[in-house]
Amino acid sequence: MSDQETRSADHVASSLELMISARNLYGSSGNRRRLFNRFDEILAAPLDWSSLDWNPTVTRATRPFRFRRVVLRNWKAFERAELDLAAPLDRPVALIGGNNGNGKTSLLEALAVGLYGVHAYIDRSRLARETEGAAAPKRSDYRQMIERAMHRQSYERGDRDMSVLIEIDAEEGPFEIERHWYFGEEGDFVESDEELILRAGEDRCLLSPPSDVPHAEFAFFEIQRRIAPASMLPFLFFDGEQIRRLAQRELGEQVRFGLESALGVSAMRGLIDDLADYSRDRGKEVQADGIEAGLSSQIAALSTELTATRNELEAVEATLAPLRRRRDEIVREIGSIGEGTYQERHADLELRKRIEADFQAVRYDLLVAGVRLLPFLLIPAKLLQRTERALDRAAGATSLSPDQDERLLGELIAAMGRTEPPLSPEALADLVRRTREAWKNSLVAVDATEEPNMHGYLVGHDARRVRELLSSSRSAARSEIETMLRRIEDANTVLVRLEDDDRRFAKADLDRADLVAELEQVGRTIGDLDTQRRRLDQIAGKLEAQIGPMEADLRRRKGQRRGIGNGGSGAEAARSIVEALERSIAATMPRYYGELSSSLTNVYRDLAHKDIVQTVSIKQDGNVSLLDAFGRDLRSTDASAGENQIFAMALIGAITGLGGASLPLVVDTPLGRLDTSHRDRVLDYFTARSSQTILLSQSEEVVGRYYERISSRIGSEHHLIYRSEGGGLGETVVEKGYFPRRAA
Amino acid sequence: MNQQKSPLQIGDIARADFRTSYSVDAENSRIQKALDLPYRYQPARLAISLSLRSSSPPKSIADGGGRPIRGDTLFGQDEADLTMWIALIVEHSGTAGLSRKEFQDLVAAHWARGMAALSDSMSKDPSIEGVFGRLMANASAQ
Repeated sequence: MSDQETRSADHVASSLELMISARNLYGSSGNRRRLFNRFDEILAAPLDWSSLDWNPTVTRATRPFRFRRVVLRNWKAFERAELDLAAPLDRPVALIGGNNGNGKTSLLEALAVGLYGVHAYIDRSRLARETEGAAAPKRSDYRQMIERAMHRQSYERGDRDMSVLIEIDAEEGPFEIERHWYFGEEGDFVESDEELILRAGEDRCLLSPPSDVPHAEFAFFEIQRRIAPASMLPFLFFDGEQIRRLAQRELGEQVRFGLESALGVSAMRGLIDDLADYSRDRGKEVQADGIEAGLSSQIAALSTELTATRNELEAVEATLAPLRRRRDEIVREIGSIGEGTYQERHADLELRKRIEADFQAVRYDLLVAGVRLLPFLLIPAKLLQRTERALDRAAGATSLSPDQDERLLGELIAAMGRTEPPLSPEALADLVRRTREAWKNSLVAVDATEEPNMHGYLVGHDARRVRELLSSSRSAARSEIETMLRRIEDANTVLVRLEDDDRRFAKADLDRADLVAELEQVGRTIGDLDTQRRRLDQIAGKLEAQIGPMEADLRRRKGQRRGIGNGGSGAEAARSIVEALERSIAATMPRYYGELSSSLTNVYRDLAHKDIVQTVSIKQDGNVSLLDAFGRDLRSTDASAGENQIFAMALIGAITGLGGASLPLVVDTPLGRLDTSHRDRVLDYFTARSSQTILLSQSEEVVGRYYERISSRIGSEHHLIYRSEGGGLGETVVEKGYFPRRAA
Repeated sequence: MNQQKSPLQIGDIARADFRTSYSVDAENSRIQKALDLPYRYQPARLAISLSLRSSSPPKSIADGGGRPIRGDTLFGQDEADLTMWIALIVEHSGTAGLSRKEFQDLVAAHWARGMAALSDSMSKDPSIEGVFGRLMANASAQ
């Protein structure tokens, strides 16, 4: 490999470690947004991912260790429990007795969770998930489990601290893991309240992470490095249940499971799943991702509805606009009818009253005058003239007597003498003579024309006055009456006009009534249309509110798929890595088949009481065969449940022994399900190992004969005692010494 | 009393009662109502004027059953008015030395003759201005 290739390979390897760390940090279940964003960053580097070659280096370094001391505080039924497990190397068995329900299982859990925290919770149930398809536990389940684990009585006393301390003798030296869980006032626990303290070495130095590594990640890495990968948990701590589950599986499956656990493949598988999901998420091509298609069609459907609604709305508006205009028009018209015409009408009424009064007055005048004057117009002119002459004569005759005549004449003559310029006596005498003569003549004329007097009654009355009355009345009559008639005509004209006006007003009133009716009608129609418009508006608004976020979501998804450069390449990179890893895994596993099969053979032969099986063989394809001395495959023989369990245990033994050294085993109720013939062999096997075995036994289990069998290998003894506190919750205490000895 | 041949005096006329026939008087009342005239003398005076248009003497009437109107009411309170009407009627008659009785009969006859013409005129347009207008038109036509 060239330098560059080496560098590249290193980059790839370290990127792989980064991805594994990212998984540890952000969890493999729940919201993977942050994990995927981290993948974006890691996979942004233009490396040749296909060169990835995975080696399970972690497992290669499985180091033997022993549990030395375990201290529990407020864990489940234990207010305080201390297990002192230090023992000489030739006494690797720690025996802890306790009846069911007394806390054996709690102890086991405390060890698992103490070592690995939340990862214990996830990994320990892996077998259950694979066999029974149980759902993957979530971090929230871990939180709940921790909250329930808090010792009740201490909690009620006000304690809010739970802890597990595990002291280990590891190959590198003493190693301490102290895990605390702190609770809030209400007993609530959040992950950030979990504290992990690591100490290493004789002087128990605190282990601190390097500056760029988060503490939790560093701690997890250290623990796995010094002890064992978390995936090994089903093989380190197990109980009868675990064995049963394992035994249910095909031998080949069991081997695969065991080997993958030992090699930490499960972590790789988890990473492969995440990368596959990631690449789908960020992928370029349109996957059969129903979500996007679904969104698109939903948006299309809603948009169509929205368009239709908007069109309807427009139509309604279009109908409304002219109606509103018409309404305004009507209002204006009514208004104008109202105002101007009312004023006019009022004026007209006043005028009419006046005119009518005038009219009546003139009529009356006409009447009065008419009656007085009309006769003068009716009476024939001839008759009037004759009467006038007759009156004249009467006036003339009666107005002067002879004495009166002389006196008047005398006065007249005398007055003539006094005129200027004075006349000569002769002129004056002549004038007097002519005057007398004229005077006499006129009288005579009058006398001469005298007719037989019809009007004798006039004597002594003022005929002249009557004559004057007659003349003046006659001349005045026509003009006066004509004037009055004209006045009447004028008044009539006005009255006719007023009547016309009145008719006009009446019509206007009708018009007004019509307009008002129309206004109501239009108003109702507008109201209905307005209601419709509001309803359509609401519908449109709702649709818009629905469409908006959907479009945003779709855009986001498309954007993520397209990526900003990284997404596309990230998906490709992820696919390359997945391929490379699967290749590596497939290639790696068979490498261990040889070692595993010989290890399995040894353990199996130790545990099985029938000596038929000579060899346990694992083929390249992973299939397991049990061969007899002649190389015949014994799998065709029906295996009993017990025999399957033996195989399972053998597998456990083999797995934990991979790489040479063995890891400690913690076994809960080891013999419970076994028949007698197997019990001895199993016990022998467990206790014959050089590595530590912690047996959690019931009172009826490792007792008597069995106890005797292993007593020389027992390095420490404890038993769990349950103390009830007067009817309420009790507690469990750990005491040194096993169950009180009984006669076997 | 020799009423027949004693020539009339103005004072007598003023105080005398003038009547016409019952039917004419009834018509007089009708027209008075129709024209909304306040006094009975008013249609009567118009009727007399109308009768004076005809130069022939009016036919005397037998029936004097109508209600009376005093002379100074019929012809006017003022002496000049009264005298004027007497002069007209006397001149029209062409007879000298009429007695009061003869004058009364003459007036009754004129009243009757004139009423017919007035009724006729009324029938066309019963309003005062209508009647007067027509009468005036007829008068000018003469």
